[in-house]
Formats: sequence, structure tokens, C-alpha cells
Amino acid sequence: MFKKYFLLALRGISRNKSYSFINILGFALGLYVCIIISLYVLDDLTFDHHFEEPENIYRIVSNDNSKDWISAVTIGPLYALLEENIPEVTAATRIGGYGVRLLRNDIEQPDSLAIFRRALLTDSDYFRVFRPEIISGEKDNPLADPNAVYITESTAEAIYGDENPIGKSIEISFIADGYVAGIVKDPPLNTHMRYGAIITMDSSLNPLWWDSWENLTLTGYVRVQDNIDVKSVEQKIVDVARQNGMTTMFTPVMQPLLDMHLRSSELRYDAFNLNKSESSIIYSLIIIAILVLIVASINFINLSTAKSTNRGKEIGVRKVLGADKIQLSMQFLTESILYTLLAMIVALGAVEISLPWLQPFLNKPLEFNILQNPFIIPFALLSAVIIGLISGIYPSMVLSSFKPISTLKGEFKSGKKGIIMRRILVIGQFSISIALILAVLIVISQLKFMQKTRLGYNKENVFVIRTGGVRIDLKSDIFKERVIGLSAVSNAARLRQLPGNTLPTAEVFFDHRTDEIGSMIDEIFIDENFIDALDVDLIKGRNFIRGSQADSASAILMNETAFKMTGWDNIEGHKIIWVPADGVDVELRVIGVIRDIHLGEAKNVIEPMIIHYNPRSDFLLVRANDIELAASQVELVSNEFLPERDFDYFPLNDIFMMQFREEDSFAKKLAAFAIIAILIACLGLFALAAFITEKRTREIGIRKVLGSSIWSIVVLLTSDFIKWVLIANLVAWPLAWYAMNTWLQNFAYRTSLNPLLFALSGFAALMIAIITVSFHTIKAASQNPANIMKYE
Amino acid sequence: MLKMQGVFKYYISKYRREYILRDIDLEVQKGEFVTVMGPSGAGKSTLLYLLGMLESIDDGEYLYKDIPIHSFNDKKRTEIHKHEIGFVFQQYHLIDELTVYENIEIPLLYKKVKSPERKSLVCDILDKFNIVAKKDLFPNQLSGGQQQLVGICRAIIGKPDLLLADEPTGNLNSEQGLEIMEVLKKMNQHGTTIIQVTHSREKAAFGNRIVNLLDGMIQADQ
Repeated sequence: MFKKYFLLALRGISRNKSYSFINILGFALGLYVCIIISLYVLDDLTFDHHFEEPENIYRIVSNDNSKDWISAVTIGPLYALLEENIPEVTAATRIGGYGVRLLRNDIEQPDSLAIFRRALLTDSDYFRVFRPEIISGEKDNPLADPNAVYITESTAEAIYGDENPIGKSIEISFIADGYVAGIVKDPPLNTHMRYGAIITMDSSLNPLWWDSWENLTLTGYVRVQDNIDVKSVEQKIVDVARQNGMTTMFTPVMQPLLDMHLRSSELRYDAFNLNKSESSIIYSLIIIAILVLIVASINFINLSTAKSTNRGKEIGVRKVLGADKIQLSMQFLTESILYTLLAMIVALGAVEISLPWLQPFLNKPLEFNILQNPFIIPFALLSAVIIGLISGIYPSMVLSSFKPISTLKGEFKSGKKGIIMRRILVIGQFSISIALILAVLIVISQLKFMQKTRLGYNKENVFVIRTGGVRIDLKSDIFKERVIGLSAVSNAARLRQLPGNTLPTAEVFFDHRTDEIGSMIDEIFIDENFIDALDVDLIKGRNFIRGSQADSASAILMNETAFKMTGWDNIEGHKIIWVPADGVDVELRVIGVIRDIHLGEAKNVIEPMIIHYNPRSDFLLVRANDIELAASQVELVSNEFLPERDFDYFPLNDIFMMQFREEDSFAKKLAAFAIIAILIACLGLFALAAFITEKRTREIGIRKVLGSSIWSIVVLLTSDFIKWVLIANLVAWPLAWYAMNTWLQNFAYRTSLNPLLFALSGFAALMIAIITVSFHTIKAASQNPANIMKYE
Repeated sequence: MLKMQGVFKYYISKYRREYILRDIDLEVQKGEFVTVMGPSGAGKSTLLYLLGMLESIDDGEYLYKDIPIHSFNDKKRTEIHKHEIGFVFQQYHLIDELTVYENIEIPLLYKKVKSPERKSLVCDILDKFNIVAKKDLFPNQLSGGQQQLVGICRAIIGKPDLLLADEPTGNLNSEQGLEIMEVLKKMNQHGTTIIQVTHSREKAAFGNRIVNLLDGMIQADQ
């Protein structure tokens, strides 16, 4: 029986080509979006799942007790103590991630090129926490030798080609006499733990950062036993930390490894957490997938019920011949399932072909191997069947409940109920489309708002080069003077940290030291040219004086917000007590106040900030009218001072824009999916308009005979559709307002929801609808009435 | 077999009842070949559809095989259409998307007849009506007479006891019409009860009883 239905449906599809094409195309577009979103979401949901027993791994983050936020970093020396003091902890490690330069260092290949990879600086416990697979080399006690270097398969191939690298010497930053001790398997693409090499962390290289109970710079992880009580283990960790002198400003907190990817958006200093995403993006994408699918299903429902008038006779005959409702419904459901199956095949093919091109748009390397993954095809077909069933239920109920006699007598008309339902569905489709357009417009306007926000400094015509490094530190001043002296350069200044990232904080007291915890305040490090070079407003006091030992030792500037926080009338006669990590307080004079500059993340508020004088900062900001010309001149100077480094420069504007990557890519995805949703809705409307105008052909003929103009008929036919779209606006606006208002709460400085955007989205939808239906209405209205009447 | 008593059928239009049939008393015995005649608008087709339970009566009583039909639910009525009644229409009402073979097969599919048996039944009937050669053609490739033959094949393949024919020869030329009437007569001789609606006295002569309708009322019953 199903075979019969199936063959019949196939025949129907090939018979009504344009109708089938619209139906299948609409479904295929909807499914295409769903597959892409599913792949994206699945990738995010399975992030970091490749580790062994990942549910037993926790990252240790730090609650900042003076602010209401959590820092993703932790202290170094804690980890050696956790395993012996806490029975539930089976292994604990700390990691620093650094870009390193790797170079084979042997006589066989004296001229080999260096490659750059991310290295994990850690200890042998890393292998017990994360259990990476060591393919060859020393497996039992990795990193026991401080010169041992573990590299991944792909790193090994890049450096040594087909040779066996085990035991070969390797030159790598942080390690003097490295040799390759083992090869580990490459980490998968969807993990935050990406690396090309694992090396020992020698904390004596950087004791202030890596071996201090005060400084939070590393990322720490523990592996625990099965089914532990997280709260009690967390308390034990806090106890161990306190007993050994961890600063009370921070409290260790356990974050499940599997939460890191999607639930870390509120964390500060989370640079180690590569490619992190947000659960809200996942939810939004799932909602969009469902909405797009609804739009596609509505097309099918509308088209098949509208077309039902053409099938009335068939249904009547079948009923007279003894078909019961169930048998008829089965037939129609088989048809709708066949449509979705065909659409699924088209969509799968389209995904397979287009996915490589979508990489930059999705911002994520996704893989889709229909043939290699045995689950894809059965799952896709099953989903197609389910979607076909859901979309087919209403039409099959409508079609199978026709009264046979009316269709056989030829007086069949689709009922009022059907028409109302169809209107509701079209309104639903357009509501979804309008809401998506609105969401796109609002996301874009927030992005623009943030990018145009008053920064307090001039980022145009500035480029950045990285100068940090042992060799240049001593000659930093000379280097800068040489750069300023170049003909194309108008000014240059040094800065420790690039804009757009969370700023480091320091503990300070105003005027008097107390026993309590001081104020945590942002700090930046600049040189004497910074204020001039970046057009910063100095509103009180003076700038740093070049080369002044007194200024670098004991003078600071502060921003307006910090000045307001102090409650002082003036800066004279006041001091700031700065509590550095190593515990010796420093008294600082405030020599000036600048207008607020927004150097941190643009989505957060400007915090109080102090500005230190540090002429040896890592980045040189160069102001020049012609950036390219200036860069080519600076390159020559750089090659002289930093011969081992390849010269590279970045416009400050690009660096500033980097922080909007996530929002920007979200906006792009939203826009693309909104366009597809609208396209699907238009396909449906196009076909529906064809049916409706066809049904009114006679009426059009009579009106024309009675002297109606083409224009007035077009208006008559179009006015219905316009009404639907206008109602759809009323449905879409409050929903979009609510959703986008919620989204905007993520930002400290947000754009207002401009009513113009609402009007614009409504107008856009209206124009799209009018253009879509006008093809049919104009065609119908310009027919010769004589032909119509004869035809009738 | 069928018995109508005081049956009325009307439509409500503009708050007034427009009567199509009034006070119909009609009894049909098993094995009869009844012809319903009358001018256009007399209610002949409506009477046929009422008898076939495609439309419902508004007043009076209709006993189908001694059971009042108002006691039938949808399901029971579908069962009767499946097994006991065959219909033939003036416009043939073949399904355009299906071949001759498939059109004839439909009632068997709904009766859930197994595939091999279905095949032999359809082949038998194609053979009997001499249209084997046409079995893979679509309705629009056939002449009107051939289409009506297919319509009859389809109506009788399920072996109904009652055949209702609404002007079966109305769209055919006289030669084709006579052929069809011969077929109906033969079936009646094999025991099928037939009720046909027609305008033509000549065709009526094939039956053994004529009911004359005028303005919704029975004028004569011979």
C-alpha cells in the first residue's frame, strides 16, 4: 500500500513541476539552515569532550572578593599541594600558554626554518590530568627531565618531515637545551586546549608570576574521583590555599571543564579559554533554526491546502470508492514525507558542497562527512520523516475531510475556515521574518554604537608594532626616538597592553593604608608620548617627564572616574598607596588627571584607573598619516634593532575591532539566516499569490468588462497581502522588542531601541511582499477580459 | 433492500428552505433495475446520492437493508461504500493521474485485497470488457465510451450488490451509450441491483421499472 502511495506521490511531484519545485526548494532551504546550525551547535556542545572522563576535570578559577566577578586565572604554587592534601583530587596541574618559536637544532639541517606554535608551559602532572595520548617516545614519566619537549604529530611533521624526531635536539623559547622526548596526538579542533608543544614550566624563570601566592597568572586544573561532592572539595582547596598564604582577595572556585566553553562569558582574564562561545548564542541559533523550519513548513501547509481545490475530485472519487479517512490521510502524509525526504537530500548535498566556503562566515572549522559518519544519513532521514509528518498533519486532515458529494458535483469551494487558517499562517511567517530583520538591525546598531562610543583617545592613523623582548628593553628609548625621527611618522608612544582586553588590576589605598582590602583599580603603563600621540585630554596636573626616575618610581596619573572615586578636591597633597604582588607597599604621587579613556572591553563600563610611567612597554604605537609608508620606514629601523624578528604591524583600528568579533559574527549569522527565512516565506507567498489570483480570474474579467483599470485591479489583489503583512508587524514588534531588550542587557553602554528600526523592518517586509505578489497580480490584471471570459 | 419513507431534502438559502425532494416514498427490491427519470432540476441525482448515502436526508426515514441509516456512523458508511455499493458517474470521474489499471484497482486497495488476487481480479475484468490493451493508458488518452467502461469496471470490481449510475451514458454518443446499457443489463441479469438516472426513454427501457420525478416529488412509479 505504501509503495502505491509512494509511486503516486512521485508521479504527482513530477506532474506539477513548478509547485513541487517551490515546495522542495522551500523545505530544502529550511533544512539547509537547520543542518548548518545543528553542526555548529553540536560542535559547541561537544567542545572539550575528547578528554578521558572529562566530567572529572575541573578548572580552578578565582572569585575576586572585591568585585562581583570571577577571574579565570589562578596562582601557581597551589597545585603541587592539592594532590597530597585532598584525597578526592587525583591529579592537579597549572598551565601557561605561550606562542613559541620552534627550530630544529642539529647539524643535519643547519638552515631549517623556525615555526611558531602555541606551547603549554606545564608540569608532568598535565599528563595525569588530561591524559593526552603519547604516540611515541617517553611514556611513563613525561617532562621529568626539564629539557624534555613533547610535540604534536603535526608539529613533528612540520619540523622533521618524515624523520623520526625522538631524541633530536630542538631549540625552543623558555628552554635552553631542548630535545624531543615524545610525540603526542594532535588535539581535535573543538577544544580550548590547542597546542603544538608541551614543555616544562621552570618557575624560577619567572618567580614573581609563576611562583607567587599573590599573583594570578596561570590556568589551573584538577582531576578528581568519580561522583565527588564539589562543594566540599572546593572548600578543601580553599583551606589548603589559605593555610599556605594565598591572598584573601581571591577565593578558588571549581569550574567543570565541560562548562568552560559555553559558561565562561562573565569570566575576566579568560584568554587561555580559546574560541569560547556563549550558551545564549547556542540558544539563539536553535531558536532561529526552529523558526526557519516553521516558515518552511508553513509554506508546505499553505500550498497543499490551497491546492486542495484542484484535488477535490480525486478525493471525492476515492471516498466514494470506499477510502476511509485514515487511508486518505496516509496517502497525503506519504506525499509530504516524500517532499521532505527529497528536500533533505538536496539540503545534505548543498551542505556538503558549501561547507568549506562557509568557514569564514561561521568562524568555526566544521566537518561534515556524510559517508564517514554512519549516523548522519539515518538521522537526517528520520528528521525528514518527522518534519514531513508534522507538516503533513494539518493538510491531510483538511483534505481527507472533504465531503465527497460536493466535490463530485463540481460545486466545491474551499471553506472559510481554510482561508482564515491560511491567513494566520502567512501572518505567522511574516511575523517571524520581520522579527528576524529587526533582530539583525538591532544587533548591527548596537555594534555601530559600541564602535563609535567615545573612547577618549584617537585610534585613527595609528599602527602598532610589538617591541617587547629582552634585547630591545635596554635600547627601547633609542628605538623610539629613531622611529619618531622618521619622516613619515608624526609621533610614537609605548603601551603595555593593547586596547579591547580586560585590563590588569592592582590593589590601592587612597591617602591611608588600612588593614582591610584596598580598592581594586585598573592599571595601565604608558610613556611620556602617549598622551600627545593618542590625543588624550589631560584635565589636571602634568604629563610624565621623559627619563625622570622620580616619575617612573613614584608618580602616576589617574582617570576622571578614579578621581571622582577618591572624593578629593584636588590632587595636590594626596597620595596613593599601591600594594604590589610581592607585598612591599609603594607610595605614589598623583601628578595629573586625564579624561576617561576606554582601553578595556567596549562592552564593559569604564572603571577607575591609574596610569604608571613605564618607558619599556611591549607595544609601540606609531602615529602617521600614511600608515604604509611609515610602516616601510619603521621596518628598516626594526630590522636593525630586532634582527631575529619578522617585522609585522597592525592598524590600531583593527585591533580595537577584534573585540567585536563575537558580536560581529553573530550579526552576520543572524542576517544570513534572516535572509533565508524571508526567501522561504517569499517562495510561499509567490505560489500562494498564483493560486489566489487564479481563483479570482473570473472576477477580474468581469471587473475589466465593467471598466476597471489594470491599476485598480492590482491594488485590489494586492491589498489583501498588504493587510497580512501589516498585522504581522504588530505581532513581530513586541516579540522582537522583548528578545532584543534582553540581549542588550549584556552591554554596559547600549543603543536605544529606535522606533525607526521597527518601521524600517516593517516597511522592508511590506516591500518584499508587494514585489513578490505583484508578478502575479499584474499578470492577472493585464489579461484580455475576453480571453478570461471565454476560458471560463 | 432499500426503503424510503417520507424523505425530504432541502437547502437553506436566505433563511428559506428550498426543497429538492419532498415526501419521497420508494422501495427497491433486490435484483431490480430501476430507472429514475425526470426533467432537469427534478432532484433525480440528489435522490440517487441520498440512496447511496453520499448525502444525508433532512427528514423522513431511510432503511438500508432494513436498518435505518441514521444509526450508521462515518465508519460504517465507509464500510458500505467499500463493500456494497458501486457508483458510476456521468462525468466518469476517473482519477487523471492514474492509469486505467490503477483506476480500476483503487477499490481493491481500500478493501485491502492482497496483491496477487488484486492482479487477477483486475486482469479478469479488463479481459471481460475487452480493454486489456488500454490498461497502461491514462484517462485523457481514452474516448468517452472507453472512459465510462473503465468507470463501470471500477464500480463493479468490488462486487457490490447495488450499483448506482448517474446518467452513465449522458456524455456518450448513441452507439457507445447502447453498449454501456447492454453491460448494465447483463450485470443486472447476474443479480446486481441497479438504480440509474437518465433523461432518455430508450435507455430507461433497459430497466424493469421507471420512477418519474417532477419538482422533487414522485409523479409515477411503473
